[in-house]
Amino acid sequence: MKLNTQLFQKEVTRVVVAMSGGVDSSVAALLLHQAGFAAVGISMQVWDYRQHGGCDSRATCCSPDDFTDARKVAASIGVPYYVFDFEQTFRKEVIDKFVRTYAAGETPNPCVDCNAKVKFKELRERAKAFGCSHVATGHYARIEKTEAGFHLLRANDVDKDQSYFLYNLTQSELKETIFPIGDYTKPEVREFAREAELATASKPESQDICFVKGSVQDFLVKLGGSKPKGKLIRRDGTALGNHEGIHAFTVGQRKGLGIGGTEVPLYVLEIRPATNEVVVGEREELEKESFKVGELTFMSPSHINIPHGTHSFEALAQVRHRHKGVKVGVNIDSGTAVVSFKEDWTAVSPGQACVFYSLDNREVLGGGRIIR
Amino acid sequence: MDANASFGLLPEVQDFLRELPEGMLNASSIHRGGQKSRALIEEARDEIGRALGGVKNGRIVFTSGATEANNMAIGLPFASCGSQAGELVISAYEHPSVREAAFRLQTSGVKVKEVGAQSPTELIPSILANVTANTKLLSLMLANNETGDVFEVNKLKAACSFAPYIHTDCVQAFGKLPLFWNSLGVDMLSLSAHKIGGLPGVGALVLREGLPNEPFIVGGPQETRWRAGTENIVGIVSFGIAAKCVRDNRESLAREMEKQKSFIERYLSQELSDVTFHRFAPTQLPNTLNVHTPGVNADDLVVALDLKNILISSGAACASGKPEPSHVLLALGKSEKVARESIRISVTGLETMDQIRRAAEDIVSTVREMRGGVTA
Repeated sequence: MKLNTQLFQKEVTRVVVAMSGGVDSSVAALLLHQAGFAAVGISMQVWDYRQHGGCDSRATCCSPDDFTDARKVAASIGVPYYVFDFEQTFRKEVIDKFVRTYAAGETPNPCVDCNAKVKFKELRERAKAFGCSHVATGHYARIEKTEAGFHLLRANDVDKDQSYFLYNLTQSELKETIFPIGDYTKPEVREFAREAELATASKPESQDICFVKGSVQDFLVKLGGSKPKGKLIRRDGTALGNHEGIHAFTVGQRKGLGIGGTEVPLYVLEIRPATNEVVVGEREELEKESFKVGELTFMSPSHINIPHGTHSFEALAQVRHRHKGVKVGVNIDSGTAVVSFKEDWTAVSPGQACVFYSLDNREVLGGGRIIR
Repeated sequence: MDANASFGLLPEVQDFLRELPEGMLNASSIHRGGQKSRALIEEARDEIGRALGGVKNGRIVFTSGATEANNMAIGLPFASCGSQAGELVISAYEHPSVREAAFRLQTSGVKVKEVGAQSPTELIPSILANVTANTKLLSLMLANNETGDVFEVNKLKAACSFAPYIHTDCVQAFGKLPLFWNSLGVDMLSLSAHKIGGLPGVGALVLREGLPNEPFIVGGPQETRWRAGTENIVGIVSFGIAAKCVRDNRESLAREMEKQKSFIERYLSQELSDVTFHRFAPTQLPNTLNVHTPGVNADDLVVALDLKNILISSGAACASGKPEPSHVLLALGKSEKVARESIRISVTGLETMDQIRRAAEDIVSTVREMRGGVTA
């Protein structure tokens, strides 16, 4: 495995590496260390499973076992390692928002919030206090520098690409960020970890939402984010039955509607918090010509100045993790984008991130939050 | 400069470890190999007794550490109580191994009173005011691990109108203060080897004769039926060697500690005008400073200093290594913010003044850098 070329583009004094105890961040730390950088491993304690309950000791992150793994890896590589407490910020910026968003009938993106508010903000600020010029993580994404500035690119491993979760990093944050494994595929990363005999080489993949053990519904109930039962209706108002609370639904969802025996599969079309109704219908009814995106940010040098005025451009839009992206026209007016499907359409869920990529599907231009 | 976490192995202990004798066979064995081990253990026990000024009417029981000793001490008076559980009084400044052991007893019906005080003169009276005829045990540490405050444990016995057992955690006091079992007026006293330069993983509980024989760990008849399990011979011998050093060198070492501590305190006060030192009692350990550096996150400061090879600590660490604000500072009425901005510096007395000076300079420059970094 060759060392990542991104590593050599930056003026680095010392790098803080966010180490989750998984294989990706372990290899990220190893690559940095081998490239000769002074790396400091930090595990971020964001959530106390013992206090908040519902979780066994085999939590996917933040468990003492994960920290033990990260500590072992750091020790075997030879980098200093510490555990930092980020519980307060994480609770406020990620968990509370997660609960609030579901309760409002929308679908949150906790990883986006964690990256923006915790990993690439508070961790960076705290790490500066001990002389770290850069933050590195085990994300599958790449950063390229040109004369125009820094470009956030999809990872070489398209299946693992995580650039979607990083769309609201700024130019100055990209400048101070390193993604050491972005040039490699997951199998390569695992192989490298095995060769280096890292303790985490064969560790299973973590779940999508690190702080939820078991079902999201149970988690929301525990945190007081559940909503009362209500009516499940068709678009014309026909009642089909009751639902367990709007927090349990996402637009486009098919399974778990609690109604069996329909002739054609039904999907969630709309969630109406005001009347506590969930509207369902057939797949065709999900189809829309366009949708709206707010809270826009653009970091690509080519698009960095656009959110303020009126502007139109074409792009690929990715509207959820693992979505392949579809061609869209974007019309921005007063900070809100109307996004029109050009070829294929897809269901969109309010609350989720809509990330715009260049038409060659290579570079993140920016993105925002899908609104009703 | 984190002696209160672990003193570090004394040179005398390192010498012993380098030249470990053969054998180290089971001290309970009848054969001569076992007898050799037994002799080593008893020699260590005698050394510790001598370091405590003699253990009249008492016995020293070796444990796996002071945490076990504290657990054993806290549980012992309640072990055979059945439904008449009784009461337990502890100070609000105790180590987690006392507090958690106490809180666990609540589930078996023991009423636990955790007592703090607004001013140092009120602490002993407050503790005593909470003692009733039903109080079976009273536990007060001799010196606090975080602030270095020394409490007047020796006043408890005479001033108490009732007769509960008295336990004192002397883990931090041993090696730093004069410590005499015979004049403390306690029934149980906990010690730890690694806080005085021995190996981690061994401690002792000193027990007054006449206490109910209720072993915390059951099994074989080791430690005259007070603590089952094959003895940790190497650890125990290291404890004995370190205890001998305490007896031989404590006074001169404490003078060095005091000198180093005063230097750091003076230097930090001069260079950083807004620092304050948390202390409560009129007397402190000679080696401990708890410093509030406003505006600087203590955990970050600990990391920044570690990267410069200066070892200090902030709050007590939990299993995951996650830092929590100190319960001691909170119990002393400090805010969570202040607790999170406070570091503990604890010297061994073995550092040179040059090392101490450089460390103090590094602390000051790091605090300045971090304050600069926050506003930049």
